[in-house]
Amino acid sequence: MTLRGERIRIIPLSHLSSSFSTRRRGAEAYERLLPLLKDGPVVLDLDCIGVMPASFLDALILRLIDSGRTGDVTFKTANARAKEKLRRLSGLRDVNLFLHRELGSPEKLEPKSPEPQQVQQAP
Amino acid sequence: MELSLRSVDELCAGVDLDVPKPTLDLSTVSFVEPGGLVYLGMFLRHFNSLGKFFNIITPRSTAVTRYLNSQRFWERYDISGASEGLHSLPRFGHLTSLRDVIDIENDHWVADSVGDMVAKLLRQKSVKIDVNLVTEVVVELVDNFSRHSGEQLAACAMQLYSARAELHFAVGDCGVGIRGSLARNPKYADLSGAPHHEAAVKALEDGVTGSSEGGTGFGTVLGAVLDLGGQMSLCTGDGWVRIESGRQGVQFGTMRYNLPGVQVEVIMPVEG
Repeated sequence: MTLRGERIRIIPLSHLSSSFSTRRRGAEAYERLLPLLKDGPVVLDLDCIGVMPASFLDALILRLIDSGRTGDVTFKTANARAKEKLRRLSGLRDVNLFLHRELGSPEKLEPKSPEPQQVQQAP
Repeated sequence: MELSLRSVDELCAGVDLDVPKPTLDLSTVSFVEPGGLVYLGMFLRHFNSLGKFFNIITPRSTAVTRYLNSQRFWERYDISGASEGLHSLPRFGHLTSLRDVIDIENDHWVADSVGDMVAKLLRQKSVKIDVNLVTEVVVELVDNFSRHSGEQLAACAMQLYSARAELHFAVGDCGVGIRGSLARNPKYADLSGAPHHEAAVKALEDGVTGSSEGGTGFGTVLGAVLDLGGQMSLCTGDGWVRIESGRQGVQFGTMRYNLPGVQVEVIMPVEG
């Protein structure tokens, strides 16, 4: 239950797509997620997904931003790499993303800003 | 000479393209890496599209000849102008195997399919590397090239060198290149007059894309390759950039040949 007494619906990402590899798949996953959001906020479970490039997540998140639904989706993952991707996308797209916690309110992910690259001519 | 992404431009720059049928001399090639193979393939594909054909001096090394034959390299290009046109060349589009160069079509499944093949092969051979991370690298690169693939197909190739403890993956095309692609976005229109390497460095930044959506692919690949302790080289036009684990920042330089398109090679260490 959320603090507002809403039932938490945890949806495995595998319910939205059979593949998590590309930007196109991320867009398709969003289309499958959208009808589910009509019944209220969801927690999207990213665990048990082995390969999930940032482009997939980026496509999903961009569409949530465009439709104003980022507040309706919390992410669930124990995977450090997945969290880093979410932090990176949060910084890149300037959007607040939240991590589901078993107890207590969702945790706002600290956005990660891109680091400027040092560029040098090869000898 | 060993044909790698670092040396193949010298071979291409040495071809006299001013004559009606230039000679491509592969006689001294003693070894071919995926980066060199893909670049050379794109060189041939580019000139095929311009209706230019070559006299080939074949490699003296039987090992190299055998390798190129096993990759079905020659069948893809109208080397001598003997075919009935580019449309009659075999398109090894919907996936042959990682024993071949794989041509990359613009379709929804090619990145998944190549990623699955790579993951399966690495697991079957019990290669000691983070298979998921390598697969992410491959999928991001192949998908990127697939989305840009047009009349001229992109291609990828992979080799595992057990003795060197290295995994090489290369992918390339002979399309508009990074500068041309980014400059389509009004935000980066200024790059149209910049050196190619400058556009390449820009493309490595998160969020930078010539399209309406994107800009996360190269960042993902870079991050993963560095996590794996590897290196990534990218050539576009007459510019190249390289990022290596253990070395700060991005190195850049000038290619000896100005080939349209983009050619990328990632080299990742495997545990012995």
